[in-house]
Amino acid sequence: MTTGQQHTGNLRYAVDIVLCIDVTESMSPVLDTVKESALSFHERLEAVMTRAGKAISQLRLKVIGFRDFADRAEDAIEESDFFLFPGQAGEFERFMRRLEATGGGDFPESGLEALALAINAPWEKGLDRRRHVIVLFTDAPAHPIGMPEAMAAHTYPMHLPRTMDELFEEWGYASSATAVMEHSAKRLVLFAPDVEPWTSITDEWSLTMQFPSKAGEGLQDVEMDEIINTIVHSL
Amino acid sequence: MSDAAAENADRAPDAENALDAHTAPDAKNARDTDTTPDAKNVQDADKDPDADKDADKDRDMDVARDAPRAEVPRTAVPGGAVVWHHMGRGWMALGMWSERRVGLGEDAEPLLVHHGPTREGVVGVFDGAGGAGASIVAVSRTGVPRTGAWVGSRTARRCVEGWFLERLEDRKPFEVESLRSSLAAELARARPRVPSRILGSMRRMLPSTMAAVRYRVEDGRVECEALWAGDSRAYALTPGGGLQALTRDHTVETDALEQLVQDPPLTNMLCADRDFTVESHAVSLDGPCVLVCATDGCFGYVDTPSDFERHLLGTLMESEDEGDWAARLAARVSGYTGDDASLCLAAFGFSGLGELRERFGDRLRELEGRYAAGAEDDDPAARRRWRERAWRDYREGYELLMPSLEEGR
Repeated sequence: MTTGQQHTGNLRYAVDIVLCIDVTESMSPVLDTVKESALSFHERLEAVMTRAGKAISQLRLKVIGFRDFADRAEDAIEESDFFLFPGQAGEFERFMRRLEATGGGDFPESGLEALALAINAPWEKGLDRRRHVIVLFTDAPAHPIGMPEAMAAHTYPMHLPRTMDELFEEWGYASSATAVMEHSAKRLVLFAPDVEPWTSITDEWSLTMQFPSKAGEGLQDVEMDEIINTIVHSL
Repeated sequence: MSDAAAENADRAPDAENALDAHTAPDAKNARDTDTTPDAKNVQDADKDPDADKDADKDRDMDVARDAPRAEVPRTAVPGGAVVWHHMGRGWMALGMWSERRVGLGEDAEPLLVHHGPTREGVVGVFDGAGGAGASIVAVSRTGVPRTGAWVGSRTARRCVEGWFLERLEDRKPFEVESLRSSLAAELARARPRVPSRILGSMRRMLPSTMAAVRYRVEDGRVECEALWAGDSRAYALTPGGGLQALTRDHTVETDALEQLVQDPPLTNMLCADRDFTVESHAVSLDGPCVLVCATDGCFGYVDTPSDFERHLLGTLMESEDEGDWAARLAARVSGYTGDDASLCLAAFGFSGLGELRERFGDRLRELEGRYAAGAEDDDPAARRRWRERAWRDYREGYELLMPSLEEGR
């Protein structure tokens, strides 16, 4: 052994990100921001990660658009598969372009159902230094998970937790036997107002960070650089 | 030269200034990392420690209070790293510090204080946790933004140094709780005035890890107490035992190879806004030994845990003197790391670098024979099998001096 370079480790990060995006009407500002950045997202993320000393071995993105099951059963959830970057950047962009900020009904949305779907996503299991990041964007509180009016929708995913306690168990904690996601890998990043249930989740769930926004204003003050920096610092 | 001999391998922007920079971003004391050392914190130790063995302790202590202190020179080496080294009689020390982005390194510069008359000292490293403390909390006098992690590591370093010197000079016991409460108080005083815009369990104010070893050399033995929070590590390195961890990372995952592979989140670190613990573990080392403290930039970017020892000993064997060893180590670490890195080591019971090389020669040959083959395999699956095999073989010796899992709970 003569030089460090000869022994450079292969310890790069395999990053899976699920973007849970509230696509009700008031959210058009942040939705437009993400749409505009869709094609360059992986390059920008990789650049910030490189500056932070973290190389990426694999990057996959998945999108879950959500509205309100009680209001619009047909398109309460719009969910993609994982897109592998950079090869599937075009497909990611096309999926994003199809999302329209519309509907919403009463103020709370089905954000907890989107979060539950994200927790149960098919995360990468094989590579080193896995990071499984859920990034949720909303400017509204959420209905209680398992709310009867929402469950009455014929599109409601019945396998989801029925209570907040069950959802917390699925997220889990250190050494938790009920956690669905790997403790070392998982992160939750909330771009959400300081209202319930987001305040409690931020206070009580492990490995969670919140970028508080103003309720009802569509996260219009959040820029893409801020989103990417926040994601990278969560890793 | 004074009867008292204490030295400090420091020339960092001292933590007092970091504190000022933090609490008052444009304060006159705000400094960058290229400022000169605070001379009062640096003492000379170029003196035979044995000459003091029978000296009156009270006299030594009194002299220690007023002793002139000299600087251990720092040397910039290619690649932007900085190294320090010192050769005493019967002991030697070196330090290295490197930053991934020029001017923004979040590791504090390594700490070494050695008090000649009592042959006691402390070595330590401090890694500002950039993910948890990414918010800018201060701006230096020259306009460089400083993160909470940057300020936290330097505040912690200054506190540990002050705690050790105060207890040494006042002959108070080195209780871990007194260190923890000092750190908590210093960090709380340095809290930013403006709260972070980001909330949640992952955020910390002024977060830093710490790994230090307080030691006392006595009758050929080195009595050690490792003190740590987070995932910086302290080790003992001996010709017979190789590199043996004295600390256990504060992570849920306890297996060192899995820690490398997963880079798991910390369950404990120093910070200004939450409770934290400082764990301690006492070990008595018989015969010549090297105490090593390192941040994860040194050991967290290798393929398998034994690689770090190979780097330490490989650079030792190539070096011409202690300064050359430090420079080679800095270059080696900079070659593979993806992070800021700092390391401090102190060797006791060796007559010089020649004896160190001689005594560790067999150990390095053994490591190369056992673990080198497979490191260069291009097939990821084969490399994975190699690193797991290497770890299984290396683990028992590496963990021999580690605290038990129960000890820290």
